[in-house]
Amino acid sequence: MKDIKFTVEWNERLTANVFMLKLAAAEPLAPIRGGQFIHLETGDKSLLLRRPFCVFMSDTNSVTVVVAITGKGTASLAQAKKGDVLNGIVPLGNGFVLDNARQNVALLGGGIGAAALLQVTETYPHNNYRSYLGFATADAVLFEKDFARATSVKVSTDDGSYGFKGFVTALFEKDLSEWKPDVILVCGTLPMMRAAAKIAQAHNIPALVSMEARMGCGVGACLVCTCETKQNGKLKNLRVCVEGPVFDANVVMC
Amino acid sequence: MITSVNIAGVAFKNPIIAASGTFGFGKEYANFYDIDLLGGICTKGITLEARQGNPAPRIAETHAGILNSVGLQNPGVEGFIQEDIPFLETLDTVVIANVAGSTEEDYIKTVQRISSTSVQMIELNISCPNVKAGGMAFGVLPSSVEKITAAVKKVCTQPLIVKLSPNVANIADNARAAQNGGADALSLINTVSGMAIDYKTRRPVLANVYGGLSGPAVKPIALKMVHTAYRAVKIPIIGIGGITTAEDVLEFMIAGARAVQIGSANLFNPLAANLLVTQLSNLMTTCKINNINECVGSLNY
Repeated sequence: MKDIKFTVEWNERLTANVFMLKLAAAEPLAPIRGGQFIHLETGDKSLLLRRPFCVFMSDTNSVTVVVAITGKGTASLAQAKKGDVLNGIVPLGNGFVLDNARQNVALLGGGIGAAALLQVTETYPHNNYRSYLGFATADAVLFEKDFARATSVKVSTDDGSYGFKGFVTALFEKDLSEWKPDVILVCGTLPMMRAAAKIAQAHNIPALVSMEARMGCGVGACLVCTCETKQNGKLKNLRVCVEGPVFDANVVMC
Repeated sequence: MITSVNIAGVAFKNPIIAASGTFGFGKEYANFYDIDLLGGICTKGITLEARQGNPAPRIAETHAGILNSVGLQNPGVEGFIQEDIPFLETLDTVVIANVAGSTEEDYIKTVQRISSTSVQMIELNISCPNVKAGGMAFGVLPSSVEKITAAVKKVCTQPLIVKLSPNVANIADNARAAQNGGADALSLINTVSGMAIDYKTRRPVLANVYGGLSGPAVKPIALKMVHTAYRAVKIPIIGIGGITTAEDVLEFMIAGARAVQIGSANLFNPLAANLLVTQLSNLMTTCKINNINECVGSLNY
């Protein structure tokens, strides 16, 4: 991990409240594993804390993040223009780690959470992937083309205005009768991740989920971004920034 | 140029100390810079038994400040000795162990355990606003400040710093009480009690409802309290509260602090404390200050 100076290359609006930022690094970057994150300045000097974003795509010279406007920090980032300078600490967190036994991988993304999953296909290019992306409405659909470059993609919308009508977890479960992945990687809202974890458990498939938390330092020192985990019946607060953001679903979804 | 300061017989190469709770046990920031360049580091609050802390969310950003309610999550004194002391022993900077507890007995046992280690100083945390039992409960009434300080001092082989809470009636009384109890130095201020509310959900932002405010928002409060305490006691004072620039450091020293602690700023920028060491030297050159000690308590008024 290193604090790196980034320059905004472009800022593209994807939906009403979601945008994509490409950030050019002032120095070569260490490899970033799928599911790792960047702790980024907001560009608003009156805001003190950085904001954590999963890395959507990266190479040795740049990081691309996808951001939903949810508060002052993200609203400030939405105004970022080409040439703006933002410092970011990267790479942070554990990311998704796949061992050799996990060749067939299902990617389950809920809304903007899907942004945490695409880079996995770069980190592990030889695995077989199927992607399931769920959104509220047709207007909110993201990343379909991006995922299509690396995997098969099925899309659901809650209201049926695009793709399968219903939750992405239902869309995924339907396919399980003909395809059983070795592992499911999930990022979305908490209820979505809980539903996915339940399906994974029912079908005896391991699941990894990527958690979100309000963060302070981002590097493991301040202990504010904890999430509750249960191991052998014992409660343990673990840091989302260091022990996470990716956790075994059995440990955080119980 | 002289930047070294001496607090209760312990020499610091410069007055910049990383504050408890924002610097872990040092390892995390060693990834970013040589932490031996700091005057000292203060550990996360250590209790007798391991603690899991408060539920999340534990942080909220407010105007020019941050609220936290970590609630003393830590590995316990034995975990600290096994996991963290070996790394801390490799450092060439002053290591201060911050100690917290729920009962007087807890404090005594924890300090006794740490007294047998190579930690150079102990900071008594009687000012944590985020735990129900203990913490700030020991730090509010001057009589209890004096009692707990005296009890811990008896078993403490290292110089003892008492960290004071700003959430009190009269900081001068509490500063004197710590001095009377045998404190070798004071550090202040801990965080200011506060809260944040989300008007849309009508819920508190912190799961713990209340938290402790730090960052630039508290700096004027901290400066005044350091100045008040400086006039009330003879023992050295370490100033804490919203320091983000070298100018802030000088202001605290002019108010009466012999050294300062950098807290929230570490969260804004992982290099903050390191940068302040350099920036302070530069500012001393600009201001023609040859010896940083000449600033201490030099307020003209």
